[in-house]
Amino acid sequence: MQEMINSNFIKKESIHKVHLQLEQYLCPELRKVVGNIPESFKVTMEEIRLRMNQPLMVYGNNQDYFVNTNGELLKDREKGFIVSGKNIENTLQFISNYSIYAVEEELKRGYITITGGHRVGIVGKVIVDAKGIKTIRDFSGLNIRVSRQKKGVANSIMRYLVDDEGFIYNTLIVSPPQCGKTTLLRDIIRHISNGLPKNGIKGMKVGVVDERSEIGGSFQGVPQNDLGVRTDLLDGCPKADGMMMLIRAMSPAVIATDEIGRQEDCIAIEEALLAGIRLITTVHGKSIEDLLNKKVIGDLVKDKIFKRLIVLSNRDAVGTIEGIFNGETLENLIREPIKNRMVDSID
Amino acid sequence: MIKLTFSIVIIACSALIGEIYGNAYKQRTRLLSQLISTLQMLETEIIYASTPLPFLLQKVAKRSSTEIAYLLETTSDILLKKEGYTFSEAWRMGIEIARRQSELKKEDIELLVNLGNNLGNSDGNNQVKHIQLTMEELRRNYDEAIQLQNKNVKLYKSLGLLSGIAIVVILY
Repeated sequence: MQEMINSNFIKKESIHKVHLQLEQYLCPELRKVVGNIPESFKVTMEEIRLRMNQPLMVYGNNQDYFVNTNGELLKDREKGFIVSGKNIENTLQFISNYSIYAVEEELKRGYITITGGHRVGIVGKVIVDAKGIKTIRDFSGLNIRVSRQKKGVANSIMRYLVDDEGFIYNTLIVSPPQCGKTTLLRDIIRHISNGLPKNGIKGMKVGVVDERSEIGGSFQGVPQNDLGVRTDLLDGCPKADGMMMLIRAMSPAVIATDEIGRQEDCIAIEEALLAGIRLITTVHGKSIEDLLNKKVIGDLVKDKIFKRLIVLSNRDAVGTIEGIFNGETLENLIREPIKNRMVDSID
Repeated sequence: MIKLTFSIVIIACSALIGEIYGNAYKQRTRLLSQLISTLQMLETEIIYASTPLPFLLQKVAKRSSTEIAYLLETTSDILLKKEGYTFSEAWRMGIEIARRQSELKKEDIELLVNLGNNLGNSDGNNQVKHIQLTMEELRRNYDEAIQLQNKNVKLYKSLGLLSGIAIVVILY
């Protein structure tokens, strides 16, 4: 009981810290406005959007709202707090730690990861030279994506991902955008890495190729999310190259990566399978039928490379698991969709 | 006997005052040349290490002379508190605090303030241009300061000594 109370306390505090951490990155004016947003919404807030000369917007609970000076959430855009160019410029100062030159590489990719693993997408005037995108300047909009590690979202599904001998099946997570596929992947990685004795999973070495810094949310090379004790993370590395590097150097038992789909990924996957490494990855898509029409990934599914296919949707709540399919028979292993997996478990 | 002692004290004092006035010029040239080398360090760090400014300033402060280190550290402290000041605001506050103890002239301070408005808010190449421009102008101020120093240090010294002697002569 004592432990329960303690864990509750820690949980609340850490949720609170997420906003404080984020609000620090806004310019004082916006900090005040966002600070006034009701606490109940902040807990579920997923995005803060700044667009020059447009009202401030926040996104959460599957809906977007305009925000007025008092932090009230509105549907009427006329009354929203108008974001100025100065707001964006100053906010970017805090986000880049007052040093645009230090985030040049990130700017080229269009986003910056900040402490806590939150990501800030940036748009503006793109400067291009012979080698490609040189930099972005005259910034016109920011999208701050709140990263919340939801520990425990994979608890209920782990038992479907492991065979009788304790090996992990090659698994593919299929999901439309913003349905929590990276969140799910992250939790699966954590469980495999730490081990989950009650489901017969003993801790295994996991290699993660995090091309877009989303899984680990690395800030200056240090992952901000808990990926488990036996996890090796290659941050910002192209998937195909990264998988090869891991196979050669880190001897992982499982390789996890986000959003597979290019031709060269295929070769790396084959290489990994040859080395006896299990694979966990994600792909954009609505359903399995949807997948079969896609080029690279469709072939992999047809070849029955993946033994488990997890389909997510946004029905009712973010991250509803529509089905867990057996990759060989395409039979659904769960009787009804799993909803509201939002449990903050301790392990 | 007392007369003699007083005379010596008066002369010594006025000579000292002259010395102090002269020293202000020396101080300024010294500060300017140190500023230039500090900027040089900033430039190198920005190009080769891309260290973010709050940490960069601390790093450079360790290798700079006291007055400049004071400016850099104050600014970096303000930035690290994350109270919502932009870099140029924090920099200006740092200058306001640091200038009280320095012999820098208004035109030197203006150059620094100007640099603060540009530091950090563009890519590496652009930063280098801004820093070099400031260094160029600081060098010009330095040359001017050297000339002033050559002219005035001696002048103030002898002025101090001579006025001391004059006071003594008038008194007796």
